[in-house]
Amino acid sequence: MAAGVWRNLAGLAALAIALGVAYALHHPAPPEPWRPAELQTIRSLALDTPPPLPEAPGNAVADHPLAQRLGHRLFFDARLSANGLVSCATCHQSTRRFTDGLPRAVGVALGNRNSMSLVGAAYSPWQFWDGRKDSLWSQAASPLESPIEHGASRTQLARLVADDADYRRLYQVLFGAMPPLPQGTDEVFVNTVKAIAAYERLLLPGETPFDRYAKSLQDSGSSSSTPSPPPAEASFGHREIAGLRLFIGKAQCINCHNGPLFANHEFHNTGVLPAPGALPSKGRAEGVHLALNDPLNCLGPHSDAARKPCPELRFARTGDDLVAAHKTPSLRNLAGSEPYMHAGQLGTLADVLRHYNRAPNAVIGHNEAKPLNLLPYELKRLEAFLRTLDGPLATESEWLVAPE
Amino acid sequence: MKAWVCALFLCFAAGAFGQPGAAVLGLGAAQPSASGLYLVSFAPNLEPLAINQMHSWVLRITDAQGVALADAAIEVSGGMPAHDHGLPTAPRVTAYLDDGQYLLEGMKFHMAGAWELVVDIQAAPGKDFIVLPLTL
Repeated sequence: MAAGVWRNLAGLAALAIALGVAYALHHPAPPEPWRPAELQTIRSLALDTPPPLPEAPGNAVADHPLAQRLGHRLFFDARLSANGLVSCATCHQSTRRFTDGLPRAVGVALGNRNSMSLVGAAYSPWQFWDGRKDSLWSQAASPLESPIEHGASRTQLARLVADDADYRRLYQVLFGAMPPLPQGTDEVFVNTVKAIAAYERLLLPGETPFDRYAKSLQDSGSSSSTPSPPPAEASFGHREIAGLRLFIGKAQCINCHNGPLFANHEFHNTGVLPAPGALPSKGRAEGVHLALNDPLNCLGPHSDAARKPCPELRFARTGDDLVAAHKTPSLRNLAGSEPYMHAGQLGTLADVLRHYNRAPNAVIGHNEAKPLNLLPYELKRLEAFLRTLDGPLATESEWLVAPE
Repeated sequence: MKAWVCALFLCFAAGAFGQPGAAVLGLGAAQPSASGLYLVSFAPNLEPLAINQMHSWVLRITDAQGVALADAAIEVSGGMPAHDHGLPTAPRVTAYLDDGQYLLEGMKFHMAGAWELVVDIQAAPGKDFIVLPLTL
């Protein structure tokens, strides 16, 4: 036959192969069965109802319904700021998974840090990217008095609570007689932020497509390890299964993003570059000392913890290897909470996955992550899996909007 | 005849002090330290061991003959060799209980996998250590 015919045939063959490969990458083959150890790991990640909340021994009203109500009002109240424009909800917006969609928060001025999601924050023994607070209530005190966030003072806030009829009433039911001000300022301020924390404890992650998939594996019995999802769970297909397999295997995400919150709440340096123009953050290396010296910590005079066991604080690790180590955030409800990392350095999930794939050298300290050498199609599968961790909050809707 | 009686007495004595390596109820089997100076057994109060939970252990330290030691200075370190990192907390012995038992508080594991706990012991017999492997 003529050379031209062979060339055409070769071209067609190459095209067919290319199309085949593209199809195969986009539609993974039916998956291998899960091994028993993998099934156990998947089970450890799943939740259908939120796990029991840890106790908050430092906050006597942490689970009190009236404190939740008072905290709810305070959370959405912009009078808790220097200019009357900034409330907690300004940076922790319920429509954006309680973040604000910005790289760094904007309160009365531009902040230094990416607003962290409050969903499930009650499960973490430490708060802030650098872990400088050891409870939700002591964390709430910080932005209120920060000159760049709310710009308020405890004097102003105590006055506000004392002078507002509704606040005063709720306060006195919960905490007894309002002390005279300004002598009682600290007491009123601390009680106020404890009420805010009681509200925040209500913000909990709900069931997601991944959780339903994990449940279906369990329901079908341990004898059946076929990973194929039931027909009802349309949003968890073979791509997502392939992504899950990478998550608990080759990509090693589960080393830090483990448990039903997909976070170990510990501190890791993963080589994230400082925000442009900013000095590198010292992270937990500095944060742990701030926590240990914080007058509002578990061992301090404002904590309600009787006998002060405070194990997290008493046995907290210090050390230079914590330089630039930041808190592992939960991977639940990531969509709508970009950008990511402590100063919003990574704009999309794809950027985050590329970052972990490369595992660049850290600017300070030592990057704990190693390069993964995943191919682009594998990163896409991981991303598809991460998107199955989104679901409605397990929080009644009245708490997710400003109170009347 | 005298040798016989002595041998019998020694067996009896050994029985009275406890066999090296035998388990005490509630703790695992006693394991020898690196240079054999001590026998160490332990029990976490978290059963089964799980990640991301603060918990405490009881460590029991005896000498090589199984005699409980009350005055040991104990330090704990460790980590995950495969991941080249240490423990996430700074656990320490906070109390001596009784019968060679020490309360080790502040234990936590933040990842599943192979861990090692290194227990450094200093008491009358001398300085020694033991590496306790654990898999979560």
